Amino acid sequence: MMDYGAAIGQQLINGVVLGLCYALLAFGLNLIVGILGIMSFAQGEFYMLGGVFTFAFMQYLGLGYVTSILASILIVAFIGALAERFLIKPLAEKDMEITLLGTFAISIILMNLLEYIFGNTPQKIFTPFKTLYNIGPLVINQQRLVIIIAGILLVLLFNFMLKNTKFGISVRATSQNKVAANLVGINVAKTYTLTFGMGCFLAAIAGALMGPLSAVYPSMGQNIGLKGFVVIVLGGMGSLPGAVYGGIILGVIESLGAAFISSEWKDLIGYGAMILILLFKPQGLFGRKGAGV
Amino acid sequence: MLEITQLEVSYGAVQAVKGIDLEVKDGELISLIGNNGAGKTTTLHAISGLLKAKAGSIKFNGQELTVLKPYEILQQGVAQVPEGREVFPELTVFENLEMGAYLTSKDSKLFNDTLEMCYTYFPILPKRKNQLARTLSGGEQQMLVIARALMSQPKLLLLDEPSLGLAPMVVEQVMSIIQEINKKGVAVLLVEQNANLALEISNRGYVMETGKIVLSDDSKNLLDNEEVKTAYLGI
Ligand SMILES: Nc1ncnc2c1ncn2[C@@H]1O[C@H](COP(=O)(O)OP(=O)(O)O)[C@@H](O)[C@H]1O
Ligand SMILES: [Mg+2]
Repeated sequence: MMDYGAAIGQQLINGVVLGLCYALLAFGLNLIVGILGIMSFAQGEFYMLGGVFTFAFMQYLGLGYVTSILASILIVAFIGALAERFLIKPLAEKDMEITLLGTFAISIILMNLLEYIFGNTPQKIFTPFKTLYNIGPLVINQQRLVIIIAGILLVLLFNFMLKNTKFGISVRATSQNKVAANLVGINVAKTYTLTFGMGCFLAAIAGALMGPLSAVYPSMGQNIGLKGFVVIVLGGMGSLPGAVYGGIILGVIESLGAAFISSEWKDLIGYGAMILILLFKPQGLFGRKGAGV
Repeated sequence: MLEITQLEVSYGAVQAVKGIDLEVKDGELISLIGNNGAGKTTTLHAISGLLKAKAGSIKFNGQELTVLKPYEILQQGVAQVPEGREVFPELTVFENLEMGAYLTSKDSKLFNDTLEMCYTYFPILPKRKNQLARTLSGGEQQMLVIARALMSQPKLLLLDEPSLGLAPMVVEQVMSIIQEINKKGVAVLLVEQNANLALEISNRGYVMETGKIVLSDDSKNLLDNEEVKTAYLGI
C-alpha cells in the first residue's frame, strides 16, 4: 500500500515536471494565438532548437549548461522574431489563413535544416544539476527541481510583465483591439514581432530544460508540437492561465497513465482528453468565449 | 493646419473616396456630414494612416501624412476617436487612458496634468478608474475613447460619429465637451450622420456623397441650404 502511494507520488512529480514544460511551450503558443491571432505549427521546432542548440553549445563550444541555455534561448527568440517579420507578416498581409501553411513551412525547414547540420541521432545533454533529494519515500533529482522552480518563476514573470508593465499592457491592448492600438500609437507590427519572439523563447526554454531528462534531436519537435496544440485545446485557445493548467493536467495524466496503464497509451490518453474537451467544452477548461488576453 | 487635396482611397477595386479637398484651419471646428457609406470613415482612416491613400495628399502643418505610419501621425499631433466606441475591453479605464498616452507618458507631470484635464471633462471616469472598460455603459465608453485620444495631447482631433447610439442627454453632454475641447485650442474634424447636431456647433461644414465632397460652406449657411435641409436635416 505504502509502495503504491509512493509510486503515485513519484509519478505526480514527474507529471508536474513534464507538465510545466508543456505549460511553458503552450504559454508561448497561446501568446501567439491570442495576440497575433494565428496558430503556429512551428512551436515544437522552437522547442527543439532550444534543446539542440544547448547541446551544440556545450558539445562544440564547451560552454556550461546554464550559459548554453541562455545563449540558445536568446538566439531562438531572435530566429522566431525574424521568421515573423520576414515570413509570417507578409503572408498575414495577404491572407490570414495562409499563415498556417507559413508556420508549417517554418517547422519543416527548421527540422530538415537541423537534421542536415547535426544528423538525427538522439543526443544527451549533461546537466550539472545531478543531486538526488529524498522527500520521505520520494526521490527527486535536482534537474527536475530546477524545472519546477524555473517553470513557476517564468510563468509568474511573464504574467507580471503582461499585467503590470507598459509594454505588457500594450501587448494585451493590441490583442483586444487592433484599430485602437494603432490609433494610440502602438507599433502593432513591432508588437507582433516581439510577441512571436517571446512565444518561441518560452518554447526554447522548455526544450533546453527537458533536454537532460530525455534526448535531443532535430525531429523531436513534431510530437511535442502536437502536445502544445492538445494543451491549448484543453486549457482554452489564447488563454494564458489555461496554458499553464492545461499543461500540468496533461503532464500529470500522461505520467500516471504511462506508469499505471501502459507507456504506449501515454499519447492516446492526451489526445483522448483533447477529443473529450472538444466534444463537451469546445472553448476549453479555462477559456471564456470572446475573452481577450 | 490640415490640408487634404484630391485624396483618393480604395478598398481593392472599390473606390470609396474619389478625389476630395478638405481643409481644417488652426482652432477650427469643422464638420463632415453625409449618409451611411458616403466615405467619411474612410477619409478619417486615411488621415490617421490606417488606410493608404491611392492618390492625392494629406498635409498637416506642412508635413505629408500619407507616407507616415499611424504612430508617426499621432506623434505629429493628429488623434482619432474611431466610430463604435473602440475601447480596450479587458483593460481598466485607467489602463485605457495610460495607453492613450503611449507615446508621451515619459514625462509624468505632463501625464498627470493631461489626466486631470480628462477627469475634469469627464467626471465619471475617475469614479470608474479601476473598472474594466467593457463593463462601462455605451456613453461612458464613448467618453473614455475621447479622453484616451486627448491623453496624446493632440493638436487636431478627428471624431467619427461620437453621437451614434447614445441617449439624447448623453449626446448633448458629449457635444458640449467637444466644443469645450475646441475652445481650449484643439482643432476638431467632426464626422456625423446627425447633420443638425454637427452643424450647430461647427464653424464650417463639408457634405460628402458617394466619395465626393458635394458642398462646403459656413455651417450656418449649410443649415439654411435647401438641399441640405431636405437631404440631411429632415426638414
Ligand atoms: N473594409 C472595407 N472593404 C470594402 N469596402 C468598404 C470597407 N469599408 C467601407 N467600405 C465601403 O466604402 C464606402 C465608404 O464607407 P465608409 O467610409 O465607412 O462610409 P461612412 O463612414 O461615410 O459611412 C462604402 O461603400 C463601404 O461599403
Ligand atoms: Mg462611418
